Amino acid sequence: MDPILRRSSFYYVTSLLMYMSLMGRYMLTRDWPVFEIMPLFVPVWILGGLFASESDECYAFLRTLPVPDRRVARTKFTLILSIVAVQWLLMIGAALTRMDEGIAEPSTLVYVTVTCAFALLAAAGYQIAVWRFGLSTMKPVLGVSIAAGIVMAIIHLASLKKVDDWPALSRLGVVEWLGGAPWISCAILVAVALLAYRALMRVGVRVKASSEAHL
Amino acid sequence: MFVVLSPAHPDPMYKQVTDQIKDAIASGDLKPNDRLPSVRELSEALNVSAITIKRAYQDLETGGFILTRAGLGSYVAHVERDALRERKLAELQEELRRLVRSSAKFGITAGDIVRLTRQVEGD
Amino acid sequence: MDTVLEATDLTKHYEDFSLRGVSLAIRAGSISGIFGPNAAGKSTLLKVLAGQAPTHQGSVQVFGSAYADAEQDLKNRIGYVPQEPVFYPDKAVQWLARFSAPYFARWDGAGFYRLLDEFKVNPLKKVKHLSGGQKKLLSIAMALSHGAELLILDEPTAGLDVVHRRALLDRLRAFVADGDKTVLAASHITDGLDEIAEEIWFLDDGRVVAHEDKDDLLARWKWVHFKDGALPKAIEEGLVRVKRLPFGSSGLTGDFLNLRGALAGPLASGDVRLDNATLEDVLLSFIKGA
Repeated sequence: MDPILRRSSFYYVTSLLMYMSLMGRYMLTRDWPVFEIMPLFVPVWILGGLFASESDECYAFLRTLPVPDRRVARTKFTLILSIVAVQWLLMIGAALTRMDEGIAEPSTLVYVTVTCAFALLAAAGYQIAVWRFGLSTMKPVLGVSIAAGIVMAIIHLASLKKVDDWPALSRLGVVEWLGGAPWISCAILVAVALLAYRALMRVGVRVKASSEAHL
Repeated sequence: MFVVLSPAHPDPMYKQVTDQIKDAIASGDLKPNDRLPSVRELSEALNVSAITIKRAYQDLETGGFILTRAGLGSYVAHVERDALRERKLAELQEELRRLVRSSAKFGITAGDIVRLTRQVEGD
Repeated sequence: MDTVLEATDLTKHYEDFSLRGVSLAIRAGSISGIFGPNAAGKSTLLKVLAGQAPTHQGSVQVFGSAYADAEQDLKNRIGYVPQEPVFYPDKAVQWLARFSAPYFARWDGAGFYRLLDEFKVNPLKKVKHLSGGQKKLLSIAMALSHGAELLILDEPTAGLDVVHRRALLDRLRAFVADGDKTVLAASHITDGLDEIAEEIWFLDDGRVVAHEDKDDLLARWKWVHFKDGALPKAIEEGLVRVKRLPFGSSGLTGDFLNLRGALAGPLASGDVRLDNATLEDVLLSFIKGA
C-alpha cells in the first residue's frame, strides 16, 4: 500500500473503529433516539481523525520526495471518502436491521445519508483550510468545531428527552418526504455529495500545490 | 614608512613587519633616530595583536636595526649601510639561485640573465 | 555544454521579502555556488529551483522540463537538501528509508546505509533525537541515495563538524567528476563551499548582483596596498573598500587585469604591493552598504 496512504489512514481507521465500537453498539441495541443522535457524531469523529492525522503529518518532508502534490492531495481526499463511505454503509446496515423493530424508519436512511454527506463535505472543507492556512492556524478552529459538534449533539439529545415538541431532525418534513422513496433519495443525495466532493477535491489539489503555509 | 600586512603571505605577520621596516630603513624612508610608532599604535593601525608587534620590534632590536628605550619608545639605530647591503645580497643570492635553476629548464643561460639585467637597469 | 537548470525572471513576493527577476543557468557537470548575506533570498531561490515552492512569476526548467509537467520525474533526478531538514519526528531513520524507498525509481538502500555509517548517524535513532547536524547529514544521505543527477543544497555544511565538512566537500567534488552530474549549492562563504565552487553567483536583496567563473573573478579582483600618492589618481578613485591607515592604504580593484600595466612602475619601486582577494572580499564589495 502507498506509504503515505497507510500512514494517514491510521488515525481515520482508529476513529472509525472507536466510533463503531461505541456508537455502533448503541445503534444495534438501544432504542429511540439512537438513530437521531448517533449520526450527528459522524462529523465529529471525522474531524477528529483529520485533526490527529494532520498533526502527525510532515508535508515539508513529503515535498522532497518524488510525489506530486496532486497525488498527496488526492490520497487524502480518497481516504476521507473511503472512511465516510464505510461509516455510511455500516450505519445503513444497522438501520436496516432495526427497521422491523420500528427503531429505524425509511426516513432514517435519508437522515444518515444527509449527515454523512455533511461530514464528508465538512471534512473536505477543513482539509483544504489546513493546507491553505496551516495547521497551527486551523487547530483552534478544528478544536472548537469538534467541541461545538459534541455540545450540540448532547443538547439535542437532552432536549429531545426533556423538552416537549423538540423537533427531531430525522423527522423533519423534507426528510420524511424524501423517506417516501428512500433508495432513490439516497442515490440522488450520494450522487450530489460525490459531485460536490469531486469539485472540492479539485480545489484542494490546487490549493495544496500553491500553498506554503502548511509545510 | 609603508607597512601593510597580507594574511595570505607565506611569512608570518611579525616577519612581514620586520621585513617592511628593514626596507623602509634601507630606502631611507626611516632615518637614524627616527621614532617608530609605539607597539600599541602600530598594532591598532595594522589590526594585529600587540604581541605580534612586540615580537617584530624585539627581532629588529636583536638585529641591531632599532633601539628601544624604556618609557621613551623605539628609535631607528645607526645602521651600517654596508651591513644592510650584505644582508640584502644574501637574500638576493637565494632568489637568483631559484631564478637561474628554473630558467635553465627553458634553455636560458646565466649570460642571458645578465643581458636582461643590463636592459632592466637601463629602464 | 548542456544547461541542466534554467530559471527566467523568477519573482516571488512575501510580506517582508521578495525575489526580484532572478535569472540563472547552470551547466551540467559544474559546481555552482550561490552566495550572499542573510535574507538575500538564497533559500527561497533554492526552494523554487528545487520545485519545493511555486513562483509568482517567471519559470524554471530543469533537464528541459517544468515542474508542472514532470514533477515526479524531476524530483527523482534531483537531490534536494533544505536548510533545516524536516522529517517525521517520532520515526526512526530506517523507517524513513522504508517509507521513502517505494517512491524513488532508483533507490539505493545499501548505499544509503553505507552513507549513514560514514556519517555516524544511527539508523535506529528517532529523528527527534538527532542533532541539527545529524539531520542535515541524513538529508544529504537521502539526496545521494536515489540516483540523482542534480544536487540542490541549501547550506550543506552548516552544522557539520570539521571532519564531516571536509568529507562532504570531497564527496561533492567526486560527484561531478564524470561531467554528467551537477551540484548547485547556497552557502555562506566561510562554509567551505567557495573552495569547490567553479561558478559563483552573488545574491543580494532578492537579486543576482554578480555571476562569474570563480577563477576569472579571483584573477581580476586584487587588493592594492599603496603609499599615499603612489597611485595614479584615476586608479585610486576606482578602488572600493578603501582603508586609509597611518602606514599605508589599501583598496580593492575589480579591474586588475587592465591596470597591470599602469601599476608596473609603482610595483617595481615598492610603493605599491598586491594581494589576492578572497571571495568574501569581493562579495562584500557587491553588497549595498557593506
